[in-house]
Amino acid sequence: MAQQRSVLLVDDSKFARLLVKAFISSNFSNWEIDEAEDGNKALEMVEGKSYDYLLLDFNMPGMNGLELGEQLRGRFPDAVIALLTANIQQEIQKKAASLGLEFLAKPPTEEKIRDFIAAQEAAR
Amino acid sequence: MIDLSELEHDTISELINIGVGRAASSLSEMVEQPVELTVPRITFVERFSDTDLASKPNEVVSAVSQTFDGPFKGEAMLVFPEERSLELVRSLLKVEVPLDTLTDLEQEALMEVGNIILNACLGSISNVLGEPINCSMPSFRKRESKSLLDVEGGGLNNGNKPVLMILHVQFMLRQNDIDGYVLFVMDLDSIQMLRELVRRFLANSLG
Amino acid sequence: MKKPSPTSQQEPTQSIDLDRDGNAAELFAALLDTADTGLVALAPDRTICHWNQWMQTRSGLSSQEVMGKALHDVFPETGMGRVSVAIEDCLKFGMPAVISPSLNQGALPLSPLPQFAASFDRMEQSIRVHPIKTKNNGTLCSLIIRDVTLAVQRDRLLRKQASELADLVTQSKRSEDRTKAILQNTIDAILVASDDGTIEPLNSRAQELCGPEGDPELRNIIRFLLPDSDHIQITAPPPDRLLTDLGTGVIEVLAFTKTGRTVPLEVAISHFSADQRYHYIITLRDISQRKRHEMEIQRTMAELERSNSELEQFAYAASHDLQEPLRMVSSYTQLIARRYQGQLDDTADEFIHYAVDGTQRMQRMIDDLLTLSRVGRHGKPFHPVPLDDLFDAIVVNFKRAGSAPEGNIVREGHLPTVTGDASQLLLLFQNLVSNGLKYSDPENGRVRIFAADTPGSYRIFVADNGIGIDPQYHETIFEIFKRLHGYGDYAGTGIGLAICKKITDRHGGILSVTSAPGEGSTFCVELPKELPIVAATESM
Repeated sequence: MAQQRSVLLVDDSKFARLLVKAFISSNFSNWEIDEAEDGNKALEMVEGKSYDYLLLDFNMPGMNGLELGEQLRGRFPDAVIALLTANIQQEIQKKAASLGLEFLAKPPTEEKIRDFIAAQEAAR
Repeated sequence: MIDLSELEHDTISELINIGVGRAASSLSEMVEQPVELTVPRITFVERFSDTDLASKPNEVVSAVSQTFDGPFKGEAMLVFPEERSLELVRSLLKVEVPLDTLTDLEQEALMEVGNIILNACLGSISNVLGEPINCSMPSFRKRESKSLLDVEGGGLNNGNKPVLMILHVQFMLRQNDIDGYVLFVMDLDSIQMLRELVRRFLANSLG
Repeated sequence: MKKPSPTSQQEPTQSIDLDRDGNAAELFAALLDTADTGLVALAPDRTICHWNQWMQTRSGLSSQEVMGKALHDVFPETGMGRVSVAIEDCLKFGMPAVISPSLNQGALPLSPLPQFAASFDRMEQSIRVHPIKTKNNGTLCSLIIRDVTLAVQRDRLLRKQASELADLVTQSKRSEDRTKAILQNTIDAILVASDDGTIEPLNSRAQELCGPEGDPELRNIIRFLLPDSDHIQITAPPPDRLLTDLGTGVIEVLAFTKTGRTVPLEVAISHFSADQRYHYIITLRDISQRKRHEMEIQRTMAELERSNSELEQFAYAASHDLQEPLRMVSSYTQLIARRYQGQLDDTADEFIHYAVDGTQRMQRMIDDLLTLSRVGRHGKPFHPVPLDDLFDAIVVNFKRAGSAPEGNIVREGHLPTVTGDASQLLLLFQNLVSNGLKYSDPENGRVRIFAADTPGSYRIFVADNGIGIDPQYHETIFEIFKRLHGYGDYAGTGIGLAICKKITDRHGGILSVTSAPGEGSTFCVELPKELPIVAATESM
């Protein structure tokens, strides 16, 4: 767990980004965490840097989380990409699964984020 | 007066969005068709006359209302122009023979829809902030929008001018999109308390 | 809960103190059992801690069976998605919930009352989920379940009726539109008149004729034509507006249009009663076209009559004037024959014989032509003619001429009395009988006369057992100068049947023949029982 990882949080809510960032940093102290407020910004950022974890909000102005996830999946086949949303509709979950995206229900809690990342790390 | 920082405003938006997201999932499952709910914007106003709803004072609106009590208190309501409410209920129920007005059963269905959305919003706030909120059973009212906030027998904001938190909600259904509003009517003390709780939560979470 | 009223001491009946009068929990449970709604209470661990009598009856599960169990264990087959979420929200966050029958059909597997069992598998339920705070700050969850099956059934019925009503309205609208379209597009003008004198045009053609742009006199004419009405003043229309005499059944009137055109109209009137009043439907049909045709026919008829009579005139004049020189030729050739027979050579005798024969034949032809022309020109008025008497006369004629052996003219049955010109009918049947005898073997020749009756006519048959006529000639034998045989074989001018035909025509009848070679011929004279107008007027 000492491995250093890079994380990109994409969410139009600054609050949501702050929250998730706080949960991650308090559990994985030296991880590098970047933020983007929408899909276009995220795509710009991945041009210059690769990430191990990409956590995407679903409802965002412009590109939604699924559309963004599809593009990122092609770029980072080995990264963990998760859709983080309050919208837990079957249809969206199914689409996410078919694109190889993980699914995390909002609201984010410390346990939820910690357990999710720990499970992914263990699987690596 | 309502001096919310950008982050505080954003936090409340996110809490509300989490709530309506959950409500949309419940509704989708219940009516077996995709229902999406978004809250494009949240605004705070001090007078009802400053709202979009007040621009048509004689329009008849249907409202589902629940009062809430806790560290902050007030009334939450889901409001639609009457025609939109008919449209919404009929799309959700897949009604083939529409009647001119909401029937009792349709009215109860609308109450349930309101109940699900308002519970989800209030529940999301209460859950994340860790503060229990007591809610009343929903009640239904139908009246001209100008008298929407008139409360029979004194009311809960007696003397104190209410502050309105207004959520513009969009239902995206299979055939059509329907716009409505969620109103949180609170007095100034309550809104200050809400802000205080958000600040405290942010301070705790972000260390 | 313990709240003794200060005035209770003075009251004759004492208020009940639950704590004093028994176990409060038991009493409340008994009270809840009287409720006409389902009441369920769930403990914070989601297990059932109250299940009232109503729930026991409707679910078929006794209180003992469900106490301490979770709701989804009691009803394992139900998803109860919404109910479970509502209970969870209630116990966790203290959120109340409304669960409506429309959005959650049969949320819990409860039986409907027997009267609804046919149309409902489950009871339709309206459920309320309430948080209940306990003394030690815990939360219970109560479910209140109301049976709204009756309301749902009424709602369905209401929708069904609304939809039927909507269908009915659409249908009757459609049929009304159709009726309107038919009325509008009818060529005839249609109006409706009531016994109070109002006349309402029903379609555009009626509006054209009787509306403000039409003929103002027309309404007056219509009123005049309608059966009498006491309270309306009617003035007789100008006589030139009525084309036909009233009482003939056909009413024709004349309308003047604004453009100065005159339009002959046929008027038909029918009636119906509605609202306890009499109404008349008046149909006006433009008969300009028909009138034009009638005029055309009349003119052609007159023209035909004139040329026909000219022709007869000519035939008569020609044959009459030819007779004089012919008689002279005939007399002198006969004189030569008598005086110089046997005095010249054989060839001369033969020539003289031909000349005499020729003049005699010509004489007969001229006689027949005269007869033919007289059929049209010198017809006598029609009278009843008993055909039995007529044939008696014919038989006498033949006997007198010695041209028929005894018994070869046979009458079978009674012959009818017809209407006609007796002398012409005599000529007609005498010709037919003579014709029949002529083309038969003189020894065995036999002519039978018999009659038959149709609803509108008499048929008189003249049948012989002679040589018969090939069917290809059946049409042409009635034409003038038509002979099927050489002069040597059978005597005749070729005018006889033409005369028969003309006489039959004049009587409005039909002359026809059925025959085959070697099987004899049967001529049929069919005479109408009622004379056609043309024949009747001609005979006057």
